[in-house]
Amino acid sequence: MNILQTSNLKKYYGKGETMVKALDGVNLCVEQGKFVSVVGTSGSGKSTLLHMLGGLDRPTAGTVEVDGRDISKLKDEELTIFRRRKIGFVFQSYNLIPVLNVYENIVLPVELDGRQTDKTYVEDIIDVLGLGQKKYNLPSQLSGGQQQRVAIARALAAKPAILLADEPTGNLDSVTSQDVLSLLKVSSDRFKQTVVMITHNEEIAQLADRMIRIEDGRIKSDGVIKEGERHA
Amino acid sequence: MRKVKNRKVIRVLADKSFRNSQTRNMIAVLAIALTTILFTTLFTIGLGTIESFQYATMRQSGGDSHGVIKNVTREQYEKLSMHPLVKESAPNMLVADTIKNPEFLKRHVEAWYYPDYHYEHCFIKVIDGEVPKQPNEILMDEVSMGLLGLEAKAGQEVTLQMQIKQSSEKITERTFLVSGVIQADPAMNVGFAIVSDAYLETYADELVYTYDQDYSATGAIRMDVNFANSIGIQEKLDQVVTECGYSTDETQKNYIASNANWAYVSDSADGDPTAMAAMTAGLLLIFFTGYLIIYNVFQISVIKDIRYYGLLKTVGTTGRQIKSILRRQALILSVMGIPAGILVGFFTGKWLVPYILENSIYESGAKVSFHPLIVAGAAVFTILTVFISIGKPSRIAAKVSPVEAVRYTDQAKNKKEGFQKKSVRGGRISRMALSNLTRSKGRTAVVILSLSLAVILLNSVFTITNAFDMDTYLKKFVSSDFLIGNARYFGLDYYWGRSGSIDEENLSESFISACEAQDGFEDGGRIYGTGEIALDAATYQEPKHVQRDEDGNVYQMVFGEKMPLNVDKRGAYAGQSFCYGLEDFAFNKVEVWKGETDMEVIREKLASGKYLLGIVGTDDNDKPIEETVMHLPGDRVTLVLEDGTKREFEILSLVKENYYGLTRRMGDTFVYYTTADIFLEMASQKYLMSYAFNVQDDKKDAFMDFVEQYTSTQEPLMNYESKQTYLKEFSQMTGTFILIGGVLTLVIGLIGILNFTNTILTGMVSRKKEFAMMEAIGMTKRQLTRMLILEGLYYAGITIAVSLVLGSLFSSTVVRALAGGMWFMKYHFVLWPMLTVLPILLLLGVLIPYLVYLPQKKQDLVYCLTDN
Repeated sequence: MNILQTSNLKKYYGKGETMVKALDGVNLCVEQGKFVSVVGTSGSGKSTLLHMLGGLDRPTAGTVEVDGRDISKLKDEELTIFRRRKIGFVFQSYNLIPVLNVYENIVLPVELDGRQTDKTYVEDIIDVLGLGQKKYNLPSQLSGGQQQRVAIARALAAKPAILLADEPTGNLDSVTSQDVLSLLKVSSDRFKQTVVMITHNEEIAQLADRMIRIEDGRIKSDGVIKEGERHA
Repeated sequence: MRKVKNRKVIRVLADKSFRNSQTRNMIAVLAIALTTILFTTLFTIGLGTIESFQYATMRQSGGDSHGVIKNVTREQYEKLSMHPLVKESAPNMLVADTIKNPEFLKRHVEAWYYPDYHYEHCFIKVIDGEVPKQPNEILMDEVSMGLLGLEAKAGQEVTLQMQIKQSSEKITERTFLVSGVIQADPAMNVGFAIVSDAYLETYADELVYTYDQDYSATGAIRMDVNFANSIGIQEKLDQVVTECGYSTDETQKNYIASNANWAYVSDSADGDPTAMAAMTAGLLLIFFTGYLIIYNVFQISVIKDIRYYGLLKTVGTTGRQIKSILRRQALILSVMGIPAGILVGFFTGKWLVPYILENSIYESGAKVSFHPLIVAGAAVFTILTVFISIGKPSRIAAKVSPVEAVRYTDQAKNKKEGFQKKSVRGGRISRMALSNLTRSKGRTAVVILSLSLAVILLNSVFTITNAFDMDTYLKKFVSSDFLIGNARYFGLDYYWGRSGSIDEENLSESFISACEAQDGFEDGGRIYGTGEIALDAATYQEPKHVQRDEDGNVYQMVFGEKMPLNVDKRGAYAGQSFCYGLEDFAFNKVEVWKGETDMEVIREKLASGKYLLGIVGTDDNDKPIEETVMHLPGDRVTLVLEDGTKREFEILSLVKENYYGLTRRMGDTFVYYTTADIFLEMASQKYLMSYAFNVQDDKKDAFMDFVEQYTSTQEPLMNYESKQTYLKEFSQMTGTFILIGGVLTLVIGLIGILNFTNTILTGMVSRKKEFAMMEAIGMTKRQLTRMLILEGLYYAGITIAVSLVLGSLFSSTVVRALAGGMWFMKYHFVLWPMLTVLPILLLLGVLIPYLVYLPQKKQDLVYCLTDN
């Protein structure tokens, strides 16, 4: 079953001479529970794709269906609510709320939705991501890797349909990057979480089940990565 | 240190980054302007009050000349005016001792000669017609014209009944042509008739100098003198007199009196510690208010631009240069804000000064000119405030290291390594909003303090106004609804109660009858009083605290010298004694302090003719002053009557002095009260001083119109005072206080709101990315708005709490002490003024974040997320 599907997705910026076709007819399907990486150089359109998939921006043409729903048709307010229920984000710059502690940051999307926190589930996530000791610390007291793990936990806590990660290791050194990524991979497997990760680093992209290469707003290649091909 | 030519580049840097922060500039300019308004208003009020006092003093002293040399002859004048120190002089002369026209009995007219070049110095302003030239031409003031029943127009004839010299009772009737009408001076209850040079020549024979024989001012020159400047006037006058060959020693034959214009002698404000304290407190308050906002604006702006300063550091800008960049920006902002503030402030001050003066004796003629000192003072104080305020922010900017700058965030610094925030509910919007306030505790505190200041001030203003106790105020001045008497009794002429003058100063029975016949009259009583009944000196037995000098005379201390009390040829303390006789209505107003207290007993015993009531003086708070007691209850006193017969009494009780109700409004040493009947046994019924009466409540206004009408048409020599007059005065006083306090509170409140708006606004701008991120993970705009509004409400809530605590504290200490110092104030602790503004605070707390967020709502999410 496809949890995520785009058809002829286009995003153009500007007009006439200066028009930039950030996305130019992207057709993409992602199956439930898969870990997909999207690679491309800067300016290839991969970030725009992620913004479209996450409902942060609206396409010029085409549709984005998440969990069977065309999100390009939703109103702003509906879209925000849809986002907090169906999509989890992990950003390059962590983006934790400085005044909330680790636990509060993790449950924030659930709280915003007014739902009851699934405590055992959240504890589980915290355990898997090794944040048990830091539960009550403020973000400013954590290292970069720890902050990104909190961001992953936050993305998972709402049990979203897809987890979108935008260069999750962009600000981390290579050892920490590996560490964070394997945790992402582990939790994806453990919680059967669909993950779409954007990166410009092919080595990191190799960790996924499937790697999509994007260039000039179009999909250049799309292939399943077999266990043996992985470097890690 | 090497001088480097880097001024220009610093200027470029300063101006470039200046243009980059439009919002900050706008708020900073507003803040500076508001601060300047406060300073300017304060200085305008201060200087305006001094100026008005000085101007009023000058007008009362008759002009703005530096000094006057008195009663000189023509020859002496010629000699004195040639002295090199004398820049300008005028030979003014009184041409008649008194103008006897009955129309001028209530408001005297003085006939003077002034040379026309000197008019300006005497504030003589011709409003119609021209300067007199012929001997029969005069200038007359508009009010005197009115009293004669004439229009204030030149070209009319007036006849003056002139008593030329006081030594001769002869009245000369002379008809003049009014060549010009001059402006009447409301500061003086005196009119003027001013004659020409030709008049002096024509009547030279009646204007001869006789001062050395009969002390007649008519014919003697009052020489007005102006020097190069107003420093050391008396010394200069003395120098002129002595160097011209005359003496300044009163006992010498060639003595010439002179004195400096007191308008120059006493600068009303510098001797007045209360005014100085109020001024200083005002300056400090304004400085603090200004500091709170200007500091906050710059602190926020520096932290926002900290990376920019780090970058400047990286490329080699020194800390000192960064400081001068900020100083330059502050200077530009000041240059923009200060002029506007001075303008608004000056006019606010100018508008307020008359209200302040309204309650002083200098009621009319507020004079506020645009003094350079106001501009300079306000500008200097504002710039000082600005530079002190940017001190800390610019130190932060100057000290930041390039590496730190990148990571420098505006976090509270108390989050130590092991700190844990043990809550799990922080994800709630309300909790998040509260946490957001603690991000920068300093800034939150500044905003809350800034807002609280206005609230506390408002509460204090109203607490003080509320403390103005009408009853206490009225009690001092008013004992009955109306009090009528001769105009002299109420005026500066006083009621003397002596046989020589009584016919001109007593109350007429006809006025009393007219009042008693008027609709609404309830009850009243006469108050008789005479100074002719005096204490017999030989038999006086003084209480212990009253002292006698070496010669055994009772004395009073006058200017540090022992002045024995005068004893007249009857052997009585005439001039120090006064005896009053009260009819029942007035009798009921006495308040017994010591001795027999039962009013019935007192009445009976007084009626026997063997007893008297003595008095004790009271202070502003109606507390008896024991040292003023001249007799104790039980003492025997002997009074000497007008014809010299003696009568013995016993002092029954002492009553509190009722200055405005039951005395002639002058303090006498020996004061006695008895009933009207006993009084009339001893003295004539012409010694009728006043009549107090009450009127039905609903008829008071009509009655007021009646007496006003009666005293101006029927018996112009009579006058009155009513409760209403004092009520009006009272409400004027409280009104003024509310007005000034209100303006101050309003501006300080505006500053508080501006500070709040700025903090919310900049807080939102710097959290733009955070908001976008929260939206990305699912916080709806509605939730975000709610959070921001909650933040605003927390600000309001904490402000309320702080205001309540600090306000109560301030009220019960400083305000209480202040109110306690004023006799007509009764301190009550009140919070309602504060409580009434609390809803406004809450409303602001909701509205400001909402309005500030509105334009940001539209911003593109992805743009905010990726914008660094």
